[in-house]
Amino acid sequence: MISNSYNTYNSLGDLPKLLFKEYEDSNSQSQIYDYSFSRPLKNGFRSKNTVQNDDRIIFDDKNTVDWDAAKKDIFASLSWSKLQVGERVEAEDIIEDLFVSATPSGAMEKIYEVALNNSGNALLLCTLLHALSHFEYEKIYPKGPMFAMAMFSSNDSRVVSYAMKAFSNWNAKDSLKYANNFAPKQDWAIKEWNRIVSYIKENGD
Amino acid sequence: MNKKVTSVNYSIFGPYGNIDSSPDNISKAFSRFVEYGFMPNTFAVFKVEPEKNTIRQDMRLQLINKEEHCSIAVLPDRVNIETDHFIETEKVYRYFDNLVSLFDLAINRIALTETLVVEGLSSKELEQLGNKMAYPANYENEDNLFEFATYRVTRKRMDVLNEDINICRSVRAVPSSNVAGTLKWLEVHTDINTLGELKDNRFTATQCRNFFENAIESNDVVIDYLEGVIND
Repeated sequence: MISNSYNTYNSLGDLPKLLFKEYEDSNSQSQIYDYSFSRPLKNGFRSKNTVQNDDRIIFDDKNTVDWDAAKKDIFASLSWSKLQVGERVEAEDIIEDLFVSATPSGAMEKIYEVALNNSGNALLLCTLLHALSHFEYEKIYPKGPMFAMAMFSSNDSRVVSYAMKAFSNWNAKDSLKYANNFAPKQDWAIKEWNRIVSYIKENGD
Repeated sequence: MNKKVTSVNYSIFGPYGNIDSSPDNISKAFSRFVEYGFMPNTFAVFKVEPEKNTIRQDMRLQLINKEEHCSIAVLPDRVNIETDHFIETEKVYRYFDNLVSLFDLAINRIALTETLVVEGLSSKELEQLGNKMAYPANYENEDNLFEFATYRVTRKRMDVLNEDINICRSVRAVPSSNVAGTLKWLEVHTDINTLGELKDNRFTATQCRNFFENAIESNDVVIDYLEGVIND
């Protein structure tokens, strides 16, 4: 279970600090990781072979995934107020369904494409990073860590924060290979990033 | 007459199979190209191995600049800078120069390919162009021509490289179905490249820049010809 204190960390202005609340507490680290898989896998939102109210059949097999509809759903779900550290966002459910309906690599391909096409949309980027950070590293590799690394270049501190949080949540030593040659540039981020790297080097999988 | 460039490829060739999409290569390339607005990406290349009866999928490194409609793809035998318009040769040089120094690339061949669509022709222009195009012969019971092409390869000296280059031009035309001897539109595909039979690693990034500048200039002859035909 997630400690209640996580649900209170929802001020975007505090994100850089708040990330490391997660990071500093090693128990919380693993709790967050578990959290993403602790709910029922399907919520009936967009499952394979599901007949929607308007009789559309979406995701009826691996070749007919309705990417456009999934994209629209992700955009419709975006909300700063719902984007809270420790909280699951709707995009996570959509992505999880895409992983099942298509393949994780195929879905990641499309998700990354959406991110590239909307690189100025901080809310979308933060939401995707937040959602992806809750998946197993192996599932979102290699596009996931590549995406997070690329977001270190963002001028928006919120995006950089969520990118660092993603690495922190994955807690995978392998992910650090992406950061060998490229790290956040902002002063506040460098300090925190170094802490994350040290932690992953010492305690990562 | 509306001339629309639909694709331009600036390519260098060499043994680049070892530059895969490893995290190290991706982050190295991204750190160099982020200042030009590129984002990292990977794409799949399928390699058929008939002797083993297998198809292998290799992931290759790519850099994408959405704003500039430009991507840099590192393939096993070449690096392509792909755009839908001509970009400043100086930029192309900087991109290649960065890649050469980053991955210690050897360059044994250079090529520029371009596809240009000529459209928006007035009925008079269509007729003038149609009259100048060498229509192929009609074969018995095959006279409903709806597409044809010409293809020519010439060799000429490129002084800046002090060697011969090939210039391949193919013109694909779609005749009008309504009026005989007129065209709907035509597409000019140009491929200017150094000779494929020379395999030495012999070009620098600077020579690539000289090649592209020269190739782009020489490319104008087709347009000049087409416009000349129309203005006759």
